[in-house]
Amino acid sequence: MHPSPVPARLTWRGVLDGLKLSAPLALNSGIYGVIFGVIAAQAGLTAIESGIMSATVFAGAAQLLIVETWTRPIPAASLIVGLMLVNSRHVLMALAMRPHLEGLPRWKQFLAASVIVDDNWAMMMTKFEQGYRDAGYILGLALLAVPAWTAMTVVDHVLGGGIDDPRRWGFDFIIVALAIVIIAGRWRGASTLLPWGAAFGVSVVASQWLPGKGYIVAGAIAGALAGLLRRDPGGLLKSALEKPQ
Amino acid sequence: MTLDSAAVLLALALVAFGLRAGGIVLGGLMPTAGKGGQFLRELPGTIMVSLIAPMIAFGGPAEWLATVISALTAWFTRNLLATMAAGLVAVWLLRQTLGP
Repeated sequence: MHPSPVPARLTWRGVLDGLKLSAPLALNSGIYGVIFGVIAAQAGLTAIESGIMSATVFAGAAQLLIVETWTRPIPAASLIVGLMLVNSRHVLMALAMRPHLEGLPRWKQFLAASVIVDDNWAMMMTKFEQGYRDAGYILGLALLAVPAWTAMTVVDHVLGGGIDDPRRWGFDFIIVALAIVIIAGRWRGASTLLPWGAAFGVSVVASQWLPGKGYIVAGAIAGALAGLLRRDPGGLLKSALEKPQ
Repeated sequence: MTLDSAAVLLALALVAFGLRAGGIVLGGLMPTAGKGGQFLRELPGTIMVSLIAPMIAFGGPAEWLATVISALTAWFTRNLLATMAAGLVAVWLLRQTLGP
């Protein structure tokens, strides 16, 4: 039977919990903010414009694509399509988070989802699956990252170029490490290989011909559908919802 | 800031929020029992796999070794920060020694 879910929370306590672990994410955001700032300046955006975009769009890969396409007159339609292609994965991420927000007022659900990026979503989902119920956590994780991303965009825009390649410092690998923690925590025996193998294969193939980050959406959906072929593992979500905290 | 760039920035902000909020709306319509629920429970794992699969598949020896080191750390410590630190240090050192 389906369990009656323990209601979710969104409190300052959760924000504080997230804030304690937010430093590496803020550092990562700050460094990408610098790179974005340089490219935005080259594309002819003012510091205010790129600052506003960082604060409101808050998505690294999508913003890089946007400023790389930005010319005069502004190609609004292709910018919006590009943003949709790159950020389409946010729909799935919010979708996967939604059951953990059951019982919260709608505006709090939107608030928690509004700061989703790859790394804070991964950390939030890990906490949820361990039975943690406070969605303030993801806001705490983003609390420093949003200003760091925005500020570094503007700072570098004004000072003109500093850090050129985050790969040199290994920061592009943070998301891999985060993903591996989640994946390790979700291992439930050999049957798990079915959805993950499908996700791996489809995303690798799709990355070669789907635009933007569509390969994440294609791989995730294909993998989850393949997972339906196995018996419902009962899963982390159910046990997380049954265990009050 | 000009009027056209202000309008485009507003549109981009709305689309970025709309995608994130759209997942919440969709999730509210989906059943959490049965196959729909199982689909939702499979998603976090498959999103994570898809997010990093091309990076690993098209990476080099440095990325592969760092992935193995991160996976071992994750498996034995079950600790987020330890795994992030291990992965970051491993990939940094390995790229220095093995080349990017």
